[in-house]
Amino acid sequence: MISIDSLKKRYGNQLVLDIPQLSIPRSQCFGLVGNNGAGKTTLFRLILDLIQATEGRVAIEGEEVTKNEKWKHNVGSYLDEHMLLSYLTPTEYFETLRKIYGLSKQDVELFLEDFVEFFNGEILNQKKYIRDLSKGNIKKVGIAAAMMNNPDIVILDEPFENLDPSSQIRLKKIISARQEARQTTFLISSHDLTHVTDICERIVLLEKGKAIRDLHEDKDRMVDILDEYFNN
Amino acid sequence: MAFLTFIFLASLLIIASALGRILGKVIEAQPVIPFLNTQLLYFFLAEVLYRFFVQKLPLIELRNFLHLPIKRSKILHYLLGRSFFTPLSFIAIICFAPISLTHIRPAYSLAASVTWLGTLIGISWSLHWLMLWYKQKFGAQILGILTVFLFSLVTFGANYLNLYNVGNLAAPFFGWALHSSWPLLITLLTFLGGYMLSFTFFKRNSYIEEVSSGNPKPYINSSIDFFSRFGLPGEVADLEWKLILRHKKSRTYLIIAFLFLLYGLVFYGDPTYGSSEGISYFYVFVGVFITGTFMLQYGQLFLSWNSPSFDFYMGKADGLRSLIEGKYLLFLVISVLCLVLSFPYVYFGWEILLVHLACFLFNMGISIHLIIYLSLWKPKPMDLGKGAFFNYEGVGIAQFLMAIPVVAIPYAVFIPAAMLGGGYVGIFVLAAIGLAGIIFRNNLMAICANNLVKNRYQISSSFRQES
Repeated sequence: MISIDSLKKRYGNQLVLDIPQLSIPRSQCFGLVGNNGAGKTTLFRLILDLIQATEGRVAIEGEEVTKNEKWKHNVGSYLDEHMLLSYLTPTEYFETLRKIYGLSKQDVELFLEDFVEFFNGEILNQKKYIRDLSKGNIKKVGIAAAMMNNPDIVILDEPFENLDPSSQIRLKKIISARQEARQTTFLISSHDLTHVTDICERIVLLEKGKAIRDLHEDKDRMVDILDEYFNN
Repeated sequence: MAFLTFIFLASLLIIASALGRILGKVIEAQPVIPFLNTQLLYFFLAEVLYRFFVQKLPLIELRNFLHLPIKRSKILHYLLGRSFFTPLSFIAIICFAPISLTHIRPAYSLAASVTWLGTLIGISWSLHWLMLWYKQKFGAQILGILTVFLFSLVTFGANYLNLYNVGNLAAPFFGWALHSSWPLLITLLTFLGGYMLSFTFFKRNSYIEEVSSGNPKPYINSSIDFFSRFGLPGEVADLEWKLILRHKKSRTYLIIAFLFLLYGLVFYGDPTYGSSEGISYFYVFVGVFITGTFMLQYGQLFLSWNSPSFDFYMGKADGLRSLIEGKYLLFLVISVLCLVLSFPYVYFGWEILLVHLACFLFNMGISIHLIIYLSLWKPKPMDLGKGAFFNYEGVGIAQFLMAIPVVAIPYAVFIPAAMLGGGYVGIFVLAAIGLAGIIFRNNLMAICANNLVKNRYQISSSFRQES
């Protein structure tokens, strides 16, 4: 589904990402962990064609991402606030996306029903622009927007950060439900090892731009390995 | 930014050095200085106005200091002191230092030139503190703004209608400053008093919650349904319209564009600019700005407006192309609106309407693509929340130079044609070329869109401020 081939990103002389080969099959929940500066966001940006690779290529469904834009209909993502239109209210923002994706109003109503608990009554139909929301609520808008077109691939950067504990648990439920019902592929980076090991069956550990571990083991084993790595 | 401020102050200095001669020409036989003294009050009234709109104490920065073990009063002295060193504080010196040297020193004495200039500077600087205090205390209330407006309306208006001249009332004070140092002393005391006033006020009111809550931003709901017929570009145009209404800087630009509609009144009524037969060459200049001000001002910062949400457009299929097409659509609608609003100028003659129409067509057919193309050259990120005055964020040399082709190219088309066949032929050629540009707009837009797609990585990374 997503295949990465001899991908390198250099800033000046510094090699910030170097992934010889990586492929992520359909309906996998792919977790990406690593300390700050390990290259997690850089990898996501390269997959989304937001930055230019120094070498190598990323292909989604066999199509190179830099060559055409068709894959954009099929990939939802939320990395940071640059991906939002923060001068709209959340409701207006979802309405804008509805028009861009060509969905019906019922589609959107149905879609937002899954997020009622997650939004906790603080997002929809408020007379507040996205830019004036709290960090956690901005993140909720971005996460929901990433899934709106029911894309086959969803890429989320640090989705648990800034969310309160109940929202973190609700988000995990949403992700698992979509993975099961729609075979959605999720790419999730996180500092929070418990959450990411909870939902992801595969975890890749990045260090200074290199994928140093690729874990497929059962959860307890993964937690042990990661704990050991981060404790040193 | 520093460069533009420098240019502004330098040009002010050039005008100021000629102030004595200009005044001498205007009032002919009268002595210059006593006349200037009757006008000084208006200078300071204008200063009250621009200080009211422009200056603000950066209280938000308190956040960076309040948690540190520094005394509150020390932080405030620092913030107040820093607020003082702005270009505004030098305007009075730049305006009046030359004339005090060239006209007062020879006619009166060196001492007179010093006390007179010192008094003026003292007033200007006192206004700094007084307006700082006034704006923080009353500026958020409608009444506070209204008072300032009413005040200036009454004083300027009364003078304009020859009811009474407040300038004359203040003249003796400035005259006194030529003979005595008391006025200087008085203004210096006002200056110190003003500082103490704002210091004590801010000291009592410098808590973060009062600062950060500020004035609640009103929710403006507005959509132009008309845009929905144009698919994705129409949607972008509608988004852009909301963006304009919901940010201070862009709102100001919109208002300026409509104010520029009045620009014609300055020239059309005046026979010096007109021409007895045919079309005055000068009208093209006015016509370009009547419908093109918004396009020029807003278009200069074409992509910088979208710098906080550029990745949104990058992430959508055909997002970047729609961004360009949508903005074109919006420019078109606003320019048509300006054109329609300029119809009353027909009062000055039908040819003016024709000039406006031709310039509108040329702006929309040719100039706009040029602006878009130039603006894609290294666009800079911009914080949309800040005001428009003295805010040069996102402005570089490219933006500064952009106005030249917008005026020069219509003339390059108009003048040769007008010399060959007269003004009407010139206007016709201008309109025809513009129309051709509108017909082939998709091809012209594609050039800009391809350029944007090609440079997308570089632009988006500069908007994320990565490098």
